[in-house]
Amino acid sequence: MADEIDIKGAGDRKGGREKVQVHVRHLGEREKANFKADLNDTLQAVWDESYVELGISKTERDVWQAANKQGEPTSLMDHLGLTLDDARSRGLCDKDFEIAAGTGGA
Amino acid sequence: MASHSVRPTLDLAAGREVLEQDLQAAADFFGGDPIQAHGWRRLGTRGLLIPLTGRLQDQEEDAYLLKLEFMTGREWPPSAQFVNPETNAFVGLADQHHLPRIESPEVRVHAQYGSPHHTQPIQLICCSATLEYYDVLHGGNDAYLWRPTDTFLITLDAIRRALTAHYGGRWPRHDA
Repeated sequence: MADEIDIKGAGDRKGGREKVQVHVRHLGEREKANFKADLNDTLQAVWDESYVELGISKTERDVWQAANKQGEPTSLMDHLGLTLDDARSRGLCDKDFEIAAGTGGA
Repeated sequence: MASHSVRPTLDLAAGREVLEQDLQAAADFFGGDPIQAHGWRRLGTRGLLIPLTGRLQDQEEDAYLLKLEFMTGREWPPSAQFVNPETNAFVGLADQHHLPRIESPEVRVHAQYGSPHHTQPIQLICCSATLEYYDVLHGGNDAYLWRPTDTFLITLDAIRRALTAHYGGRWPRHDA
């Protein structure tokens, strides 16, 4: 059932494009937002929209991540050009998205 | 405000308050008691024990225990150390096999880090979200400095993210 593609929420179609509900948490500010994104949107576009929805400014240290199938946080920074659909197919974003804080110390 | 050129000042009373505040903030954020939900344990009034796992491809999970200790006010992150799960402590080389190997741009685990500010080598989870990183005056990019609004969730998330993507197995047992 292709119309039921979903990322943590019910999907629907508007104007022939598939929308999905995404859930975003900002770990530093401890804020949350839910909004609908197009499956053809890139991860970069969803990340950018998250700041608008959260009402929080992006900072240099921010990291865009999602939990993998084991629930472990996994950076999406090397996959920002993927569409939501592709990222889901690869198992990169089955759960909520998070804006985490990058750290230094290597 | 944390700095790459100033060592942290201990304030144990403030650390106790930070832990209580951060646990409440975590409960509000996650919508439930995180200690119960994630199998964390309190250790005294300033400590938190957090089970973590590392997994090499096609191998079983390795279990580790992270101890966070809150010893300052909000301007510094908590102390973070991997510990022996039987003692909840790390005594140096004899316990090094309780450490994961992590080498990433964000986090690197040293079993024995020599610092001119310490008489003995220390375990260093080299990460700008741990107290030890500032205590050894490691230095780094100011963009990653700990912020007074940060909580231990930042520390934990950075270590978990590094364990997921840059885990290199368990440190070997030290032969005396």
